[in-house]
Amino acid sequence: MVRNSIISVALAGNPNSGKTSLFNLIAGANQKVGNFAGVTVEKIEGIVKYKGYTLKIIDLPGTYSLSAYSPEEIVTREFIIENKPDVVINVVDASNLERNLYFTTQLMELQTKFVIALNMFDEIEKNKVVIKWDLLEQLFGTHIIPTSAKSKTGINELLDHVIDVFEERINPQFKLFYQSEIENRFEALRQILSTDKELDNKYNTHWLAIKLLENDKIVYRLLKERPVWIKVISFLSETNKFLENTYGGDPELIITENRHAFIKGALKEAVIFPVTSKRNFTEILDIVLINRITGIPVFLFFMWFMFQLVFKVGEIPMRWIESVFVWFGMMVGDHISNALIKSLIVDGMISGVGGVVVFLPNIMLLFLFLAFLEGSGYMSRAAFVIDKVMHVFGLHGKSAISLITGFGCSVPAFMSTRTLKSNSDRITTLLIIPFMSCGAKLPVYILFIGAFFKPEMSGNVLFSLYLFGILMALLSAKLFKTTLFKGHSEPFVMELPKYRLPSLRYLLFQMWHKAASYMRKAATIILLASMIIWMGTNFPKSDEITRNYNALKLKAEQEMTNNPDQKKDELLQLEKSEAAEQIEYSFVGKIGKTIEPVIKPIGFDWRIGISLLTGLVAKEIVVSTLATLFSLGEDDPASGVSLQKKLRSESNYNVATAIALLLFVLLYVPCIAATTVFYRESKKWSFTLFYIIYSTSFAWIVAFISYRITSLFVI
Amino acid sequence: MHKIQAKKNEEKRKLSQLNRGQCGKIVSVKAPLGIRRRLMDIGLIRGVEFEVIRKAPLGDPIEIKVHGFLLSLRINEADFIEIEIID
Repeated sequence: MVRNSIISVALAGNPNSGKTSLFNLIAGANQKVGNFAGVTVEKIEGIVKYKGYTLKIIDLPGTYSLSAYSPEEIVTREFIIENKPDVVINVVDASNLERNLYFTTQLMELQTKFVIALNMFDEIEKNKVVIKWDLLEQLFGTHIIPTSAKSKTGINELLDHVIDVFEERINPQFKLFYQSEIENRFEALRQILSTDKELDNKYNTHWLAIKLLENDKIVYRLLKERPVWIKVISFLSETNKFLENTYGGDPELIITENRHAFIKGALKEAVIFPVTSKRNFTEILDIVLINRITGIPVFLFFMWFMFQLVFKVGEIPMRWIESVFVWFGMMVGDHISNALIKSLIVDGMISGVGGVVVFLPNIMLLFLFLAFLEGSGYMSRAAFVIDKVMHVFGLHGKSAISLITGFGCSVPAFMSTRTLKSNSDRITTLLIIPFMSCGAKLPVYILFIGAFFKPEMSGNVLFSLYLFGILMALLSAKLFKTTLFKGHSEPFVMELPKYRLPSLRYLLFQMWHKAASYMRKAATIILLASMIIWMGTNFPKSDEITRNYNALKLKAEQEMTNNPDQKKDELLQLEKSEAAEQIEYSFVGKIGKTIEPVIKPIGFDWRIGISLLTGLVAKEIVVSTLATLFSLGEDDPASGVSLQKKLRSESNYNVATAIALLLFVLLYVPCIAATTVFYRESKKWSFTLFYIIYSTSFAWIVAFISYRITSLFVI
Repeated sequence: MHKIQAKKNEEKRKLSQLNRGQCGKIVSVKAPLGIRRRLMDIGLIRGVEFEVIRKAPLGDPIEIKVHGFLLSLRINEADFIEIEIID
C-alpha cells in the first residue's frame, strides 16, 4: 500500500496562547518566514520528520475569532477553507479557557479536523483545577492533549494524535449545540444553499448558513452573484424579523450568545475551578507597573533602556563590523593595482556590503528587546499607558514604541511596526517615523550648529530640532488619519495578557527571524542602490582634470625638491582639490548643479545639493561630501573644526542657511536603506512614492518658510 | 407611566461611567457593526459580569476584568456598552 506520508498541519488559536512557543518547540530550527499573499501578516512554516511522516506545519496568526474583520482573521479562515490542512492543532491557553474555547467553537462550525492542545497546562495544574477529560473531549468532539512549551511536555503525544487524525484512526465529531430554533434556521438555510450544486460541492453549506446569518461580509460577497441569492435574501430578512421579536436581538448576537452559552455549559460540567479571591501575580505586578503614578515613568524607563540597549550597546558590535570591513577593504585593495577597479571593489562593493551588515546589531538587539516586551506581556501595557497621547493624533498606543525607536534608526523602527495590527495605523506610523530624527543625522546637526551658533546656544538648538521633528510627525499623523485613512478607526480592544517570563528560545527565534528577513529582503536592494550612488559620484571621470592635476603635481615635485614638508602639503592639497573637481564633474555633481534652481530659494547652493544627494546613502555622508567639496580631507579628525571654519567663511552661507539646512536634513527622505525597508514593510510602491514625495516636499516647504523669515533678521 | 419610563432611562449607565473597583453586568452593546463584532468576539455580550480594574494614568483607556482575563478598551468603545451596576 502506498500511502501519502506528508501531513499538512496548521496551528491556530488566540493571541497569547503560547502558540508560537509551541510551534518553535515542534518545528525546531527548520523554519521559513514569509508573508501571506497581499497582506503584511507573517507566515511561519516549518517541516519536521516524525515517525516516518513529514509534517509541514504552519503557524497561523493568533486571532480571537474567525469573523471577517481583521486581516489575521481573514487569513486564518481562508487558509483553513482554501488550503484544507489535513489537521489543525487548536492551541488553547488552559488558564483562560472560556475565551480561548470561543475560537474552538468556530473551528467546530467549520467542521475542520482538529485536535486541541491544552497549552500552559502546568499553570492550571498548579492551581488545582480539576478536568473531567472524557466529558470535555466528548463535548468538544475531539481529543484534548495537555501540553506545555515551558516544560516541553505533551509534544510527542500531540503529534501522535495528529497522525491518528490523519490516518483516520480518530474521527472528530463536532456538534455544537444551539437553541433549537436557531438550529432549525441553520438547517433551513443550508437546504436552500444546497440547491446550488456547485456551491454544495465546494463549500460546507452548514458553515455558509451560519456565516450568512451572522452577516459575514465575505460570504455575502461570495453568494451575491449567484441565482440562489434571491431565495437566501428573503429567508434572511424573514429570520431577522423573527429573531428580533423572539429573542430581542439580531442573528449575529444570538449566535454569539449561543456559542458562549455552549462553552459556559461545557465548562460547568467538565471543569472544576478552585474558588479564589486572591489577586494573582499579574494583578499585583500591574499595581506596581501601570498604576496612576508609576505608569508613565515605568514606560519611559523601559523606552530609555531599549534605546540604550539598541543604540549604545549596539554601537560596539557596529564598530567591530565597520573595522572588519575597513580592514578587509584595505587588504583586498593592496592586491589590486588598477585604481578604478580598486575603488569599485573597495569603496563600491565592500563598503556597500558593510553598509548593509552594519544595521544588524541594531536590528537584532531591538527585536530581542521587543520580543521580551511582547512575550512578557508588557507590550500591551505600554500601549495601554501611553495610548491617550497617541490617540489624540489618531494613532495606537503601540505606535509610540516604533516612534521612539526611530530616534535611533528608521530601519529597525519601520520593521517594528509589525506589532501594529491595523493597516492604517501601520502605514501612518511608517510615514511619520522618518520625522523622528535618527542617529545618523546628528553629525550633520553638530557640524552646522557648531559652525553657525554660539556654543551656549547649541544645546537648545539641537533640542528644538528634535522637538520640531516630533511635532511634525504627530501633526502629519493627524493629517493622514483625517484624510488618507478617514473612517478607518480601529477599535482599541486589547487583552492585557498575564505576565510571563519568555523563554530564551522564543527570544532568540524572534531575533533571528527579523535579522534573517532583513538580510534576505532588504540587503540586495540596499546594496544595489549604494552601488548606483557610488557609480554616480565616481563617474564619469574627466581626463582633462586628471591631466591638469598630473601636470600641477609634476610641477610641484620638481620645484620643491629642497623642501620635502612643503612639497608633501602641496601634493596633498592638490589631491583634495582634484577630488573636489572630479565629484563636481560626476553624474551626482551634475545633478547637484542641475537642481540648484530648485534649492536656491531655500538658500542652498550646488555643493549642499550634492551633499544632500550623497546623503541618501547614509545621512552622515552629508558631512564627508561637504568636506570633499571644500577640498578638505574627510578622515582628518581636525577636519570637523576646519570644515566649520570654511563653512562660516563662505560668503553665501549664514545662520538662515544653517537653520534651513538643519530643518531640511531633519525632514527630507531618509537614506536608501530605510526607504528600501519602508517599501518592504508597506508592500506598496504607491505608498513608497508618496512617502518620498511627502517627506521631501514637506522638508522643502518648511526650509523655505524658515529661510525667508530668518533671512529678514540676518544681515 | 411616562414617569417610570423616564426613571428607567436615568438608570441606564455606560461602562465608561464606572470607577475603579466597581462591578457591573452588561445589558447591551450598541456599537457600529465592526466594533460590535470585536466586542462580542472577545466576550462582551449581554449578561456578562465584569470589574473595572483601573483607568490608564492619563484617564483613557480603561481596564476591566471579564471572564477571568484583563481587557483594555478606550472610553470611546466603553461608551457603546450599556451596563447595570452590581454590588
